[in-house]
Amino acid sequence: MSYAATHDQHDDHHGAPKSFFQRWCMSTNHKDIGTLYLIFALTMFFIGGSFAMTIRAELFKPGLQLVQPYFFNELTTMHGLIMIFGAIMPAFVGLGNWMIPLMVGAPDMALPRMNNLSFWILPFAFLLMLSTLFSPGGAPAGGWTMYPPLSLQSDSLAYVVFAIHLMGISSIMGAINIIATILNMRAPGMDLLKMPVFVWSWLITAFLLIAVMPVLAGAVTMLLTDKYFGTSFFNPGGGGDPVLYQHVFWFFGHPEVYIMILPAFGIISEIVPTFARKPIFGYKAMVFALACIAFLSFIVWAHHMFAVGLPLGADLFFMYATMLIAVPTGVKVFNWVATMWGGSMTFETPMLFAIAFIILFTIGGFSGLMLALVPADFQYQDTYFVVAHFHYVLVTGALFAIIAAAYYWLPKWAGNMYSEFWGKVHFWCSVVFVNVLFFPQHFLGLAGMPRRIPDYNVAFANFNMVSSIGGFLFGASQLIFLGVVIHCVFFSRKKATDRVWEGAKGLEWTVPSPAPHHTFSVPPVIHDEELAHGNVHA
Amino acid sequence: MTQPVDDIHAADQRRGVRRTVKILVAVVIGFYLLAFLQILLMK
Repeated sequence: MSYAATHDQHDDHHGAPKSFFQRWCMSTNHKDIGTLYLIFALTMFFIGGSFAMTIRAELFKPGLQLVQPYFFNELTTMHGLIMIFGAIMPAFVGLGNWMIPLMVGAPDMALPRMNNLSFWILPFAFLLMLSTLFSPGGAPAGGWTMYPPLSLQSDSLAYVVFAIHLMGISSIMGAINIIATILNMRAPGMDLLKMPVFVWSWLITAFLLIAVMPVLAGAVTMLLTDKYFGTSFFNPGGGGDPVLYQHVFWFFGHPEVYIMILPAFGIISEIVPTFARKPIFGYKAMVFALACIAFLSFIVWAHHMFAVGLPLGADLFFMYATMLIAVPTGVKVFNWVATMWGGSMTFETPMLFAIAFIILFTIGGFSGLMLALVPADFQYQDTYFVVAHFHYVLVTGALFAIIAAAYYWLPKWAGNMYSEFWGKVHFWCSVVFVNVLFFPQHFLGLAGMPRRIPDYNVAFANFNMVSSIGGFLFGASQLIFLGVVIHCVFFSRKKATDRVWEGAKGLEWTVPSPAPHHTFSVPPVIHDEELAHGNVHA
Repeated sequence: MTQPVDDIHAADQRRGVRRTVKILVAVVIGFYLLAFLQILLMK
């Protein structure tokens, strides 16, 4: 077997700490911290998912069945906050932690102790946030966006604001760590334009995080001072303006959407070339498209608030700027298709999820284009069409990419192969039921069903029932994923090879499977032909 | 052991990490101060 790097077999001579507490609570090892992030994200995914199941159960038929309206609003709020900040973002950080040092030939993250702190802040932040469900006034129920004045009515606002500050600090520390690692810890010869696209995607995402998390902190702090310190930033009675909050929030919120999708683009750009057995088509274009999307994310925030009554010039600017995002996104989609074109393709589970991502994310992108049109958006605003749109982008987009990444790199992490049969069962169940769940929501939205309501007109009954059935089955399908992961890690007898996938290229595949506790203590020797993008200058 | 010990580039890397972190921390603190300055000015 050829090696891209001379991997020092003595790398593992300092093994993992023996004590459970030392290994998992005091770890400075990027692999262990990556594992912690992934376990945390999976736990939050099931907690947020259980809220979603309750929401769909309530919406199974018209009328109030299971929960009171206020609790329903608490569920939608917590579902959004947990899935965004607790599941999707930590999952990407976990994948970054595990793979970035391996992909650039670094021995660890640049700031390992801060890495530990970044992670261990998170469980406390989420315990704090989830504890509000049991507080006397209940959890915040104004939606994950926490628009005033509705969010100010909650007695537990301060807890959630503090939790968001903690998450923000964790994200910023993680972002600084990732940037410092990528810019300084690359092995000699690993030029920026030879890095895997996943590493590029995380570098750009980290800059987005640093730029926007302080903005969120400012927005929620203003909420806090409005509620407890007598200010009137968002209170018209004191000279404030609630629309100001929307501007500040979405200046954070739209880049946040891209924080949740750019690493997904990076993952797909790793998986598609491996299973098409071809280098990625247009590597540089893929990198520039990532940067373009990141830049555009800062100048489109007001498309979330067309209906508040912006000046015509602002409407036009934000509409055109939003539609412009389709150009770099289209570059990416066409380049993935061009990578597959003429390739010797095989369809293992990661590739199936990657292809589903490309098709279904594009559907979410198209409905996004519809929402970008100001006159059309006036009709779609706050309807289930918006719910369908962002779930296509975040579930069949971000989540499918995370699942694809888990199947793709799991053999490298665990040293065992997962069950391909059950992986494919998981894929087909997921891809069918996710469409049964979310596609009818487009029709509900177009017919005028508002979002965030526990009860609805009987005219919407059929599609809601279909959607709920899809939801339950999609939720149940994820238990298969849990089973596949547990089986792979603890019970699988099929050992993974070092390279795992025939078409896989890059430094991460040159280390043994499972990856030793310490890797690249001695920088690897880089041979361009063994890198996924080594011959980009050719 | 989380840092390379026999890497001739280790010193360069550490210097680079320190410089990057200083710049990024300054940027983040700047953003936070800007956000809270804005809050104070608008109060």
